[in-house]
Amino acid sequence: MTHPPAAPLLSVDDLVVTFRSRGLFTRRPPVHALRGVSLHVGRGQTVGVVGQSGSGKSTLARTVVGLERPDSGTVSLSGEVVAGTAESLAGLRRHVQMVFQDSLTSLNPRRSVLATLAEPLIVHRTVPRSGIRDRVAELLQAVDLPAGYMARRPAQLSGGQRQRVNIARALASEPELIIADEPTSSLDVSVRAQILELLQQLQRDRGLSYLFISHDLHVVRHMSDVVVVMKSGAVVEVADKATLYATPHHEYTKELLAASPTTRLALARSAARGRSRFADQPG
Amino acid sequence: MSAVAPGGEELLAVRDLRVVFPGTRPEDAAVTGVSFAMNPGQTLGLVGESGSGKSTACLAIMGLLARGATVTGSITFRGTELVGLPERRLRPLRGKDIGLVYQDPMAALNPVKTIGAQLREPLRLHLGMSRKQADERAVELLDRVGIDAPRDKLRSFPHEFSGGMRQRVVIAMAVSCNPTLLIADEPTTALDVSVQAQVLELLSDLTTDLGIGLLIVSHDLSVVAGLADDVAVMRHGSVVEYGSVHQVFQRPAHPYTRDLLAVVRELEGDPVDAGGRP
Repeated sequence: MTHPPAAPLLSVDDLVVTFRSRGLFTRRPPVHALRGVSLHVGRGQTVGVVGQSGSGKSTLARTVVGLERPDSGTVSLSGEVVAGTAESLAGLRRHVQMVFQDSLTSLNPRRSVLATLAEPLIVHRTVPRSGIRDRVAELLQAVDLPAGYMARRPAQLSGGQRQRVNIARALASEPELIIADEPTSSLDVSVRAQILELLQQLQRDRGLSYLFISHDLHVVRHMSDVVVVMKSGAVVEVADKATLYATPHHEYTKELLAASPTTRLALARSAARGRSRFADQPG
Repeated sequence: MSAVAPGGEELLAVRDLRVVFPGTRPEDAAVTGVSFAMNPGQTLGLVGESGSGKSTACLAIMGLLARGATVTGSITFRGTELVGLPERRLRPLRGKDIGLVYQDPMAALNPVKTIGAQLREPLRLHLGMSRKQADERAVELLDRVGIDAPRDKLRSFPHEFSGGMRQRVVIAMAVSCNPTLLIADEPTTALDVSVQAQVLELLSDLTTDLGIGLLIVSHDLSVVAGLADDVAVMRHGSVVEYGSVHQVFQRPAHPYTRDLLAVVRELEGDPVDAGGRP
């Protein structure tokens, strides 16, 4: 869609993250979660990250927003390296926000939607105190929720509605980049499509960039301009989506593609067995 | 819905099934007016979103609903009426003639018992095998579901296995007593994508080879498309569409089915592209 300018919005260079667990009695070998990962996200662009669980996708997301400390490598925003200092991270989090998989555990169950959405406005001082209620109403409108939902608590919302609140919270600080880690994996299929549609709508309206993480190739293909395939903590393939799906290079990418059969292929196999109780089968 | 079994009796026939949970009004029945049937060796997919009544219907078939739930209608398994059958007559069926595969293999396995002990249990209980016979059969079963070095694995505990391997063990247990019907409730939902395909293939191969009827419950239409011969689509406790996979997927009659399919198609993208894959 867009070609990244000289300094891309997000630049991840040679990121290495190792987890060392010190058990009381046992010494486990270190887990190499990221082994030198590099990627770039341009303005207004969506970069999809696919891979099985354990491939390092979520560690990548958490490291980019400063929730994990890298052993080496850098994360830069608009060409500026984000250091591990508190000021630097506060600045980063204004521009980079995250949406997590589980819409319920990412919300405080005792807080109303109003309190949840007001917090980032207060922290980042984006609006004066008196303007908070209006701004929250605007945020709710942006995610297609009625303003009357301000008084509700997470338990009074459906999974899809909760994820809309999470997205609204991410939008509150007016970020340039949203990292979405499996944002639709815990939702029903019909709701999933609505949330994906909302994310695309917000991108068009606000020029957002997404780092979109999922194990579901169909979803990633639907959303992304560029797809990054990860395995065992390393990037094994980077390609624009047309190239990746037409001519996957890496064995692992082929495996992933083969593992998600489309309904058309599946139907052909099913019809070939001819065991239906119904007479109407294709010849 | 006027399909007739081409020769031979039906394996399972559910007619006008209705389930009302205690404390709810009769008009809020979890399952209402559900009918479908399966021939021996056939695979039926039960599809619908969460809360549509799929799992409740399955639990009713197994007689596993909480006490107090009111079940009416008819469920016949190889000619025997299961609705109202006392527990002592249901128990010999469960785990023997009707096998079960649940969504979460970790919850289905006992964490403090070895894989071998858990595989031996139904064999000794239902088939009266000796410990030695049961061990031999367990090795055979583990081998059949694609687990390497099966003899060594008898002494392993569930936590030593990956999610996919655990589900293979659960499947091995489910088919161990030669059932004629296998009920699989979201068997791959808790698994990784690449493992999902392998487990589905195993279920398909096993049931085909052994002539087992498979009732597969899923919210994922693409899972059902690959495995099932017939499909029943459930919504709000009722079957809104029932037919061969071909009918339902190619010419969905109910708007709800069309919506579900449109979502899948959109996510899968251009089908021409997909057809070009090896």
